[in-house]
Amino acid sequence: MSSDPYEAIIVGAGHNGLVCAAYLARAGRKVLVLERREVLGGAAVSEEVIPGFTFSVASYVVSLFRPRIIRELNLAQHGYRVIPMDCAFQPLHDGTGLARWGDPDRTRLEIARYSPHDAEIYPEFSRAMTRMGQLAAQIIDRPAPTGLSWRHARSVRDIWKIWKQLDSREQDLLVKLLTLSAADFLDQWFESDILKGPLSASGIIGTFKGVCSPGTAYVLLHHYMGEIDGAFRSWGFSVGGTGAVSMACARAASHFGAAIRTGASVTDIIINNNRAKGVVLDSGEEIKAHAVISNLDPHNTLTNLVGHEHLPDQLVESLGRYKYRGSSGKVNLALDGLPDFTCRPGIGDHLRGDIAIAPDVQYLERAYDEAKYGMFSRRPFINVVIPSLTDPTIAPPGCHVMSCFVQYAPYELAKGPADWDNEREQFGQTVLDTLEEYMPGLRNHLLHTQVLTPLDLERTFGLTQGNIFHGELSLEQLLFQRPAWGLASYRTPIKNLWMCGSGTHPGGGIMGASGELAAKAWLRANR
Amino acid sequence: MWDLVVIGGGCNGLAAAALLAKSGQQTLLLEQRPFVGGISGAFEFQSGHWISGMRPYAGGRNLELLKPLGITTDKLTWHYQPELSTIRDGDGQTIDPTSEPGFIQYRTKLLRLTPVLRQVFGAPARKLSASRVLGAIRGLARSKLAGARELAGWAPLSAQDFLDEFFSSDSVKGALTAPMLLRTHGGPWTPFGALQIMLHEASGGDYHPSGPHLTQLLSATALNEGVTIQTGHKAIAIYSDPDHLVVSLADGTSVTARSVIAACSRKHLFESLLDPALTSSESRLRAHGTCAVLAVSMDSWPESLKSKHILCALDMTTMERAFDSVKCGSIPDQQVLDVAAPHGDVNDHAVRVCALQTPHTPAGGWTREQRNTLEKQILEQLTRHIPELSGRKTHTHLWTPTDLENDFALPGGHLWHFQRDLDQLTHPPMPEAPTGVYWGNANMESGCACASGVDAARTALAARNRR
Repeated sequence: MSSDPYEAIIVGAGHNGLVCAAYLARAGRKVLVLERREVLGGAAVSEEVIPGFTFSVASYVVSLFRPRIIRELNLAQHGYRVIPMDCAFQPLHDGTGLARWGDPDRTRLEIARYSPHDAEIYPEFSRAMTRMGQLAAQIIDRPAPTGLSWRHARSVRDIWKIWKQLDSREQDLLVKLLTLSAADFLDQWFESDILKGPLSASGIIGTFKGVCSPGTAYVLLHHYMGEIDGAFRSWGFSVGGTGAVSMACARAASHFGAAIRTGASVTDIIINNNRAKGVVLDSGEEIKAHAVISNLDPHNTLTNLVGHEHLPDQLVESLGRYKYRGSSGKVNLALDGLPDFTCRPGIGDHLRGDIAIAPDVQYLERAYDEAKYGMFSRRPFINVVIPSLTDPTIAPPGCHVMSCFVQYAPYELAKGPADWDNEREQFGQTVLDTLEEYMPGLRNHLLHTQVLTPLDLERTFGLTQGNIFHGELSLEQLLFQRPAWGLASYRTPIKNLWMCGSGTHPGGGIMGASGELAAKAWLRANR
Repeated sequence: MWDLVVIGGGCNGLAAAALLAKSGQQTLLLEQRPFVGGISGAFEFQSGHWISGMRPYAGGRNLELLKPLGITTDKLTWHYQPELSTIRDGDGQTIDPTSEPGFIQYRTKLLRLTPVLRQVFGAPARKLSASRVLGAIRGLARSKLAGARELAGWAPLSAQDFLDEFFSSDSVKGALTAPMLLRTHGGPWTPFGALQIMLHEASGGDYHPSGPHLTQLLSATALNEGVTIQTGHKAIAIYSDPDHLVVSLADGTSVTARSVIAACSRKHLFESLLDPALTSSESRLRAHGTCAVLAVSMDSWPESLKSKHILCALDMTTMERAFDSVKCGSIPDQQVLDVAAPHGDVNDHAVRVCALQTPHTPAGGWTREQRNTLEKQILEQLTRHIPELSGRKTHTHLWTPTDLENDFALPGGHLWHFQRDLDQLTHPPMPEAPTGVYWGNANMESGCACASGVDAARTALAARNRR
């Protein structure tokens, strides 16, 4: 071991890789992070796409980032700053739209306009979901149980303990959250289709399922696990874009002594006697290390870098079944001003939060139905944020950055993924058309449009099939099955090759938990 | 005062009543319709024209439960004979999944998972207790986890993803997917479709277009054992008095009993018969019925119709598109049909067609026009399989899912009373019923197996014996 210049090489400087590197360096290990691109952060990246405008190019809001990591790595000192959002706004064609606020009384008044019943139930719903979110957060803050036998008694016992904290009604709720569709789940609480629209939309983000597909209630729950400054279920803007989160992790890693190289594309992992020995860069340079930890998704790590010939057949088979199926695109706009929403004019607080083009459940399900047959939704679900209203540093005075997360944009178009190069322009126009229905005149303010199709997400960020979570968050791909049975402990069948990306438990969102848990597991194994 | 009142004279109610009477209980059975049998019984839809029940698939595995009543398989003239049941694709071509290269692998997988499925879903699901969970873990550990691991990895898949692993032919996949359409509200691409296929196969998923013989036999047995059967009596509420229960009837009268077995749907029991306040909104059972039934009589038997049962399947994409229509309340262009043609058994010249993927209520409701559209379409499709039909058809009778809901008190028109979704199977909403009210609980065993009724009767008897 001592002859290797590094104890661990981390392939990929996404936020998980950087968190992992920081933890290893903090423990006094010699770590090198290699990033293919010139910028750090992977999909949690800020880039100045046109002068004066900083886009959070891919992921755009922060909430799930684990508070323990912020504490342990001192990220606040390294520039981590998140400003919570106070509003979730849903524009509509008629009426005033629906805004849900941090203040429960204000929210009740808003919802009561559509359904007094729902307005009364809503606080109870939020409480129940927060409770479930806290519970699920206990699961994501620890390694997944990798089995159910006595050997794994402790992890099974931990899960059992969590289960026993619940009364029977809550147990029922949890079972439903794991198996129901978002729409069915919300039907049990609410009557107003308008309220159910944006609520159910949280259940489809990043998955290729519809609001009526079983399993989407879990993704809904996933969005209630977030925590900012101790307040559960708060989403927020990272000052300087989501890339600033990655940069804080990078600074922490450097501070602890990790080396970070950009422009270093890993083309191969050196494997000798079923043992990872180091990596080869595209320049031909070989870098030896005791261990290699990959921040890439399972496909890029195990299929592209390792190769199936080094893996057991059963694993190859389950990797083949692991679903990516990217379903979303991103449109980033640079604007020289903000047009009004017809239903609620003026630049009010309702624009400072999360804006969802999700008028009702049917709309969302229709959008999915179109995508199933290989075309992007003609009227998609769009999650809009205007971070420049909260964080003026990212746009010139008077100008704004508008970030639109668009679903569904299936990776697999009817004519194949390569067809995205022909459809990109039309996809961008569809998004603008949809937005113009709610805020006419948007096009007059356009300075620049950046369109990212799932194919672009794959090319730019190495997200296989454009899946933003490194693989779908569906029940058969979670916990001890993420990314495959036997791989959930961050190890791979190749000795000293580990994984720390979103494709491992718990996966998904700017959480950092995969990176943290992988680092801790590696440190335990390499004392 | 009666010892027991059984509400509902379907096969479960009949089985429960017969078992109770056999154990010496003074038993009264109330049926709202003029005849017993429910949707399993034979039905005269036109004077002299009978069909053999409404339900498409009836499992036969659990007839052993009826042994105490002296009912065994050999006493029944089962219609089912494998060589007389065929599966066809949309164009009328015969499909034989068993001849596919992947079939053995598929079957092996299902057989391996069946014990695990029975462990998890076979037992009546009450509250998930520690002992049940530990029992399940022990059972899973015994199977060296392989079964559990496979189940966890495969059950959440959609039917398409699941069947893609074994088969290449789209029509075969369609044929194997069709049964799941009845169990849940979904299409071939809906997650957890694999679980539905597995459960269907694990509960003995053969096609038995049967029922009438069983219900006839059951009602004869019940009468023999001394059950009083009152048809045309609709129960509307159950109240508890200090030492007995009161069942009030639609005609204003009431009966009193020590115990009541609700052999109607559980939804009906909790949301109509008992105090609705017992059921909180989030524990309502989901039941989106999507099956319509068309009875067709003919003046003579078509020579081309050799099978007693035909499943007219469709390819996966067509079924998914049909589900898209169902979701937004329009009638799809093509539907999966399940045709029972019990030639020589009940009536010589009538077939029963179940049209799967019919919306419960189309946009605008079931107007005459909508009904005609549906009927015309079913007949058109049926003619592809029975060419002589157009010349020989004499009478038809259509039950939309809404009709089934109204005529047979089926919640949402769902033939199985509620969707067999994972949460409703493992963790069904179970409000506390008043003491002395029992209901059937069997999960996996659906169809004409009477498991729910037998379960309810046993529970009631056990409780009486304790007292």
